[in-house]
Amino acid sequence: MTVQPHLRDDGPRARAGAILQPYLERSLGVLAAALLLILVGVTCVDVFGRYFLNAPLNGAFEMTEVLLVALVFAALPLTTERREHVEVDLLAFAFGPRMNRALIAFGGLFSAAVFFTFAWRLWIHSAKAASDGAVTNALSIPLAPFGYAAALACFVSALIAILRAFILPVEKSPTPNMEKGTS
Amino acid sequence: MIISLIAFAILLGLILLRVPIALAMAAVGGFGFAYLRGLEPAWAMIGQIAFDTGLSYSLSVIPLFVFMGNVLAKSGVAQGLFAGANRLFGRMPGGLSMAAVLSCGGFSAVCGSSLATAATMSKVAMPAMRKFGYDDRLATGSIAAGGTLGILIPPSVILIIYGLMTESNIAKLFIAGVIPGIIGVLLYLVAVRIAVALNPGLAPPLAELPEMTRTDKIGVTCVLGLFFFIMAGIYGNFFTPIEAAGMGAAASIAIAIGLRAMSAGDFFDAILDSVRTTAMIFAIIIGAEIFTNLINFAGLPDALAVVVYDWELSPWMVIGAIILIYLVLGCVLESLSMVLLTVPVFYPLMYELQFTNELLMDPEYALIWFAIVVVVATEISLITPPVGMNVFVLKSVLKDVPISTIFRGVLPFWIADLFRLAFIVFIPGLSLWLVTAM
Repeated sequence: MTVQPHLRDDGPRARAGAILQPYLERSLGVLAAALLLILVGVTCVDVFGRYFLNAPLNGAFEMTEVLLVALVFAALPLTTERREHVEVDLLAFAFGPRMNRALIAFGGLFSAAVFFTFAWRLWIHSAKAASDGAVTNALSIPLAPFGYAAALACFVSALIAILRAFILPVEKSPTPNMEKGTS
Repeated sequence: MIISLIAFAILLGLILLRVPIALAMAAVGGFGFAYLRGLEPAWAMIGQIAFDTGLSYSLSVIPLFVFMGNVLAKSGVAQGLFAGANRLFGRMPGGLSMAAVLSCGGFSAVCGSSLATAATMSKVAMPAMRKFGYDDRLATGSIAAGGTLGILIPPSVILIIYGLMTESNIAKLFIAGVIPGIIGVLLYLVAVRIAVALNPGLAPPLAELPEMTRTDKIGVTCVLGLFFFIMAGIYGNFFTPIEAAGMGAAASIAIAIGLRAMSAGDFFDAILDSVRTTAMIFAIIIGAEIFTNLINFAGLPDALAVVVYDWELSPWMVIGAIILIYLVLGCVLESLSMVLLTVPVFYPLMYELQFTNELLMDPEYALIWFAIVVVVATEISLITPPVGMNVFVLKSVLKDVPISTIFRGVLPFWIADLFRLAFIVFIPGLSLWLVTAM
């Protein structure tokens, strides 16, 4: 489904599109990687502590929750940058190259509009959480900063989606994005 | 009902125009909700859902199981599984294909993603099958189909998400998938045997049997050990199905380090892959939740229940119609979006249908059985033309094989899957026996 027959692009435009990736991976990528490893660690410490030391990790449940929300939104720009959001190019074979370009531009701008909306609504949601002083139950972790970060991540994703509407990423590996699906 | 159907139509239109599925669902759901309830509630809903979905404890299994699968894929255990299965089937006609099916099933038991399984196993099993002169049709077909086993055999991300949507017990869903998963493996093995019997040219006999190396044996032990570690942990109440994901991820890192097949660079790649996939999946979940909010508010599930009641439809007609919808939708959607979009619409029917089967009279069991039916129907759609997703994954890994070859190769397995679906639908005990025995 993501075999994009008309979209192999090795020209200067594609090279221009590749610049972003290393920077994103070294910043948000490293952050998200750290969050994922901590997430693994939290579960292990909690389970081992519960059985062997008789001392479960206090607030493991909440730590998992806030780690997860941070992880998801830190990774969102990375996914968007590689155009790894699942899309169906069932008709790509039927359309010509120009039509496919147009559809990709449309899809990218459409995505950007939705991401901007998410950014805006998450920001407002977080402002409300901040003024209510919303915190988690056991550890009193304030939720608003995570919401603001999520809003920013959506904003960055929107900008990247606009870029990707016109400049495709260089494919690092030939495997398409479906490969990592969940099914 | 009309509004829901219009929403579905617009959604499918956008998806066919190559708008990412997640964002199309969010947009249609948001606008539809605004149309029905007003702009302010719709805006508030969007921010709330986006944040709360990320904050969901149960969904933490997604990055962890994906991570576990990605690490194992790079740890070299898949090679060992294939070598082990090879020893098992030895010189039987089609032995390598049968080994591919079995090792796909084994790998997916610890991977949870059918697409990752197909991609990994194609790198392991394809070279061997080519070397011994197997026909590309049989070789690719057995890998593409074998990969679909992954969604059902626990741990399964899709079953977890189904459990969250329907408030079913995840441990019970997992155990319900075991027997249908094994039946799937067996039927695929039969499919290979029949295909080779009908056309012996597909699989020439082997001249010599490749030896199993020590690393291969360790690999097999690790995969089996990991699977039993997870199952024993869950069913021995040492940890919950949610915690199993974190424990499994840690164990897979230990395995990868122990086998020394993974470099630090590979490891970082596996992490990056996992976090990107996580964001991709969460985008779909968030989009689907927004869309589902619209559908529920528009009253589609209730309307369907009324239709079933008024027309006095028999349970089997309803189930048949639902399966048909899955097979058709599978042409357009990938498996997760399909399950996320349809299960909220259909699962309330499980409370309404007047089953005559003793087990299914209990709505809790009916829901678990329905989960297995849905997942198997989804698996079939992964290898059904024109857009079986596993087929396209293989195509992208094996660039020189035409897509039509893979689809022809998948045919025997596709037929086997239809038999399996029929067994599971008509013999609910296959899914529920272990659940009741628990």
